[in-house]
Amino acid sequence: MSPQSLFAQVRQRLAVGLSLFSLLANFGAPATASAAEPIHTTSPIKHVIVIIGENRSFDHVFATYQPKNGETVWNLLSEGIVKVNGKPGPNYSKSAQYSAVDSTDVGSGTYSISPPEKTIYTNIPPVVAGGPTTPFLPTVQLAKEIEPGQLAPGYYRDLTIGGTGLEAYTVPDTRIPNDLSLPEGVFQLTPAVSYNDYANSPVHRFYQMWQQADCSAATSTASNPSGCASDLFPWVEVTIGAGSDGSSGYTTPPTSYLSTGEGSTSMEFYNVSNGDAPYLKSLADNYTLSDNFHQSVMGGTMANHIEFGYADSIWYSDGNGNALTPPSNQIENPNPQPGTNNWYDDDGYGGSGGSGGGSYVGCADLSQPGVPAITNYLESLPRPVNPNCDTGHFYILNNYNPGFNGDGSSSLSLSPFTIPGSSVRHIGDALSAKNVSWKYYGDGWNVYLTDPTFSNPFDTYCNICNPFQYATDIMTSASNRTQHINDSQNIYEDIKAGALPAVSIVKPGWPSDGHPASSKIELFEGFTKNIVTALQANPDLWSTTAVFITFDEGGGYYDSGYIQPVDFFGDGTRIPLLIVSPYSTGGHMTHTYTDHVSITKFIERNFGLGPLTGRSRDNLPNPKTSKTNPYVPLNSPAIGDLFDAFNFGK
Amino acid sequence: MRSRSLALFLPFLWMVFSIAALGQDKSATVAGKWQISWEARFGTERGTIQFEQAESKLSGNLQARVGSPKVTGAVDGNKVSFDLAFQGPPKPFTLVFTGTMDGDKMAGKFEIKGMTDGYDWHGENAHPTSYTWTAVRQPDRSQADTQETAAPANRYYCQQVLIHNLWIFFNLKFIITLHNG
Repeated sequence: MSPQSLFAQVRQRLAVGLSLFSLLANFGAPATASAAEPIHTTSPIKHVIVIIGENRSFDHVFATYQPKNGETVWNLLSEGIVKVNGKPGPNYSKSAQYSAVDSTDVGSGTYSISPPEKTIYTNIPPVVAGGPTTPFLPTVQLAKEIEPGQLAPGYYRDLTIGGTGLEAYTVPDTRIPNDLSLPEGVFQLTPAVSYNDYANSPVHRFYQMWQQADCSAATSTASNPSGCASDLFPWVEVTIGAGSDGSSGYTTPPTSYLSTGEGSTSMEFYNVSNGDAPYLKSLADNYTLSDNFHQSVMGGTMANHIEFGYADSIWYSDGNGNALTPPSNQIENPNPQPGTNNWYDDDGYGGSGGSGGGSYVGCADLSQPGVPAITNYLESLPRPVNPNCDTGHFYILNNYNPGFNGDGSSSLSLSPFTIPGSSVRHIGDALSAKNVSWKYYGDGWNVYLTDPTFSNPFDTYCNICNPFQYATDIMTSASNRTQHINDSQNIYEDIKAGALPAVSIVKPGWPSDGHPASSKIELFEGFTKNIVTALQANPDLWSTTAVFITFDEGGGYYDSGYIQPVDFFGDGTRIPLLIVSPYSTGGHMTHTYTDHVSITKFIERNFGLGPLTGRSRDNLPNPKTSKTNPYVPLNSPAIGDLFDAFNFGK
Repeated sequence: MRSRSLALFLPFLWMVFSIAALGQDKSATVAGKWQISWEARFGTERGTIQFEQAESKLSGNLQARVGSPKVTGAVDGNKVSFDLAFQGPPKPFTLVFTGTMDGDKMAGKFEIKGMTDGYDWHGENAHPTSYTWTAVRQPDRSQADTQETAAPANRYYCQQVLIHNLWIFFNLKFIITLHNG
C-alpha cells in the first residue's frame, strides 16, 4: 500500500467517523430554528417542509409509474386500464364514463351525488382548448423578474413557451388526436400535446366533485365500501362545469360540449414511463411515494388548504367567533333548475346584482339545498359516517378571499366573495403554544403586501392558499404576521442562515404552482427542485428534514383510487404525495390511507401537540387494514399520520 | 349663369369647412377629477384620477392605494384610452385602459402591457380574468373649474351650430330663390 493510498484511507475513515459523530450529536438535538428552548421530537425529524402545488390527481401524474425493488402501486397501469405506452389496456372499461340525469323530473327532483339514468359514453365529449394561446411571459428575463430565485436553473424558459395556439374555451383542442372521437375512458395527453404545453383545466368545485365521484351506498362492496364509481367526470364538466352564475361567461344552461369550456379535460393523463414529470418521477424512484394520499375536501384550492391548516372547515361569522347566517344568495344551491339537466340554481360568483356567490352550506340542516344527498349517503354506508356539521354553522365550500389584506387591514370591502376572519384553532396556534417555530412562505407575498387586489402582474401570491391569512389571531397582530408569513424567497435565506423553522409551509405562485391552464407540472417541478437542492446543499439540515411534496387537490382529473368518506366535506380523489428525507429513501411505496390532515397529524405527533380541537379531523384514528387490502381502512373513517412512511430505525 | 354657379358653390364650400371644423370639436371633455375603480384579479381597486386635457391628449396622475402613477392618454370623440405607468414593486409595469365616455361616466376594459393576464380562481377553472373598469366624474372644485372652462366651449359649440344652421337656411333659401328665378 502506497503512502498516498494509506493517507487516503485514513482521511476517508476520519471523514466517515466525523460524519457519524456529527449525526449522533445531531440526533435528538433541538431544531436550529429561532426557538430558544430545545424542542423534543418524536422522530429524528427536526424540520418539516410542506410544499403544496395545484390541481393534479394521482393517476393524472403517475398513471404509468412502475416502482422499483418489488414495490407495488395502484395506478392506471397496474389496474390494466392502460398499457405502459398509454394505450388502452385489457381493463380499459374500468375508466369508462357515463352521462346521467339530474333534473326536477327525476327522482327527488333535487341535487343527487349519484344521479340515475346512466348511459355509457361511446365517445366522451371532445376536450375544449384552454390555457393561454401564447405563453404568459414573452421573455426569460421577464420570467426571472416575476419569479425571482424561485425556479431551479433551466426552468425559467418554460414560462415563455407552451402556448396552445388555440382560442381558449371556445373550440375543440385540435392538438389532441381524434379529439372528436375519444373512447369512453382515459387518454394520454402527451406527446401530441407536449409535456411543456399549457392545457385546459377541469372543474373541481365542491358539489361537482361529489357528483364526479358518483358515490352510492347501493354499490358498496367489501373492497370498495364507499361505493364511489368515479364515472361521471365528463358529464359534470359538460352539464354544469365551473358554475351557473356566469362568472366564467356561462349564464345559461349548456347547449353543447363547448358551452362550459371544458369538454372531457378530466380524462387526460401524463406518462411518467415515457418522460413526463421527470423530476417528480426521480423523487419517487429515490424516496417515498404514496398511492393512497387524498385531497381532504371535495372541491378546490381554498377548502383544501384550510383543511390542512385547521384539520377542519371554517364557517361564516361576525369575525369574532360568533356564527352567522350568510346572505341567502351566498348559500350554495346545487338543485337543478327546472327544464335543465344538472344546471345548478346558485353556484359560483355573481348571482343577483353581482353580489351573490353560492359557496356556504349549513350542512347540519337537512332542509338546506344539497345537504340531504350527501348526509343521507354518509349515514347509509355500512359504517355510517358522521357529517360533523355543527348546528347553525355555515361552512365555506369553495374559494372565498380571506377577510384580511396582507397588512392586516380588512379586505371585506374589496370583494363580496370574502369570508370574515376565523377564530377556529389552527396548526399555527398549536405550534406556537409549544414554542415550536413555524412559517408560511408564500411566493409573491412581498408584492402582495402592496397590492391586495392583484392589479400588479408581478403579484404572484395566492391569498386563498394561505390558511393563516384567514385567522384573526395571526392577521390582527403585526408581530405574528411578520414572524409567521414570509415571501418564499426568504426560505433560501433561512436555509443558508440556519434559521429554518421547525415547520415550513411553502406555496408557489400562480405561474409555478402546476395548476393547469395557468401553469404546468414542469414549472412546479422547477419550484420544488430549487428547494430540495438548497436543502441537500446543507447536509446538517438535510439530515433532520422531511419534505412533503403534494398538491391541494386533484383538480377535477379522473383517478381510479379508493375514496373514503370521512365527513360531509370529503375525502376526495387521490393526489400525489412524495416524502423526501434521509429516512424515506429507496423508492418505497406507501399504501396507508392518508389525506392533507395526515401531514397535520405528522406534525402534531412529531412535536407533541395533540389534536387541534375536539371536533377536528386529526382526532380520527390511524387506519387498520386487512393483509390483502392495505388501501381500505377497516376502522373507517381513519387517516394515517404518515409515520409509517419513514424508516426511523436506519 | 356664372354668378349663379358661384352663388351655389360658395355656400357649399363654407358648409364643408364648417362641418369639418365642428367635427374637430367633437372630442369629449375628460379634464377633471374622476373616481375610478377596476376589477382586478381578486377584487375591486379604487382611486382618483386628475385628468388634464390638451385637445385630444390626456395627462394627469392617479391617487390610489396601489400607487400614484402618471397617466397619459388620448380622447377621440367619446373613446378614451390611457395608460397607468406604475413603478412597481418590483419592476415598472403599465396597465392600459380603453373605454368610452357617456356624460359623467366612463367604462371599459384594461390589460397588462406586454403580458398575457394571469388567472381567475372564482370559477376554479383558471379562466382569464375579464378586466373591466368604470369611472365617475367627481363634483369637486376642480370639476367646477372644468365645468366653467367647459361651459364657454359648449356655448361656443352651440353658437357655431346656430350660425351654421342659419347659414344653411340662408343659402338654401338663396338657392331656392335662384332656382325659382
